Amino acid sequence: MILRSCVLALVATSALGATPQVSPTRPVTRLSATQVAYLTHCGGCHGIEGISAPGAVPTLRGLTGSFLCTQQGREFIIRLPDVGLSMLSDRELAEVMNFVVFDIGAPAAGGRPAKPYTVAEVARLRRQPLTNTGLTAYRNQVVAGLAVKCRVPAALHVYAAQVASSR
Amino acid sequence: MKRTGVDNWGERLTRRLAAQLSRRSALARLGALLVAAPAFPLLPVQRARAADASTGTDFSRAAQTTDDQACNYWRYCGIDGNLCSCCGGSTHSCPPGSQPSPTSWIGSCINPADQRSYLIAYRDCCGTSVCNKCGCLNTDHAMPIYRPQANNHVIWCIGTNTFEYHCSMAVLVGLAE
Repeated sequence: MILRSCVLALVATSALGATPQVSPTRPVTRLSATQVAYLTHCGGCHGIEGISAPGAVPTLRGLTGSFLCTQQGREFIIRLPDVGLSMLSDRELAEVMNFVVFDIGAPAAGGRPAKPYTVAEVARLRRQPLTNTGLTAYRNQVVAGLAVKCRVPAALHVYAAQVASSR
Repeated sequence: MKRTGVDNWGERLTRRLAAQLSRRSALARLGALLVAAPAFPLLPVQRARAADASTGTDFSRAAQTTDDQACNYWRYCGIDGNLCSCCGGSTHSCPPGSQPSPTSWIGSCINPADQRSYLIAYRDCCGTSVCNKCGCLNTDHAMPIYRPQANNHVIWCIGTNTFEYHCSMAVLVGLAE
């Protein structure tokens, strides 16, 4: 357990970028405004590096970029209630989501080039949050659409199965 | 209408001013006074509030950097629970027999040593009964329960084997620039 805790602490201080030596013994990661916004609004649950509790919280690392393959997927991740209804401004949310899809969530095998989210696009989509939709079923539909059009990581299919088995 | 002493005094004052000052001079002085006034807060409450804004929160002004078993240790500005440092663990490690949660809420605290803001992950240790030592509640940047992502009353054991809470860590994530 202690080993796992130490690993967590190590991850916490080494993730997300350069690690300048602030004091002789403790390297501290310097975080940009976008990284701070991601961590304080998303990273607690989704993990500092986009990996958290598989089955309980969707993994972002290496996966979220795949949603940009279809228009439905592109819109889906902005319309998620915890995304669209967050306390971030339209500009901050656009920056965070571009960080999530192009940095944290970029597929390891690469993917089709996609356009970054614009502030106007995010502002429009977040006004249509998926608050009256069964999210797991809708996610399955979106992922099925991605699989038809693109080669998506197998892990993208896993979350729904984990959620189903945990019920 | 009967004139009072105040009326007479007011008349004498305005006549004297009118005799000694030009209209332009009076307007210029009045204008300068209006522009400059906000730069000089007169009330002590206003001055105290201005000082507060430049030096952080109530917690950060009383925080210390040496004793991580005390509730006013700087990293605990948003913690709610029992300090793992008092329970056989530390600010970044769980006591033996408990399991760190992969989920947490992440807030920010000002370090009094350099007056800079650092991100702190309040990560719970779970899987064994509550430690019951060094209970501590601070609320910097914590949000109400309807914003659960940043609520410190939530038992952050999501993703562990059980929801049995033991204690809370305050893991340093990084420096907010």
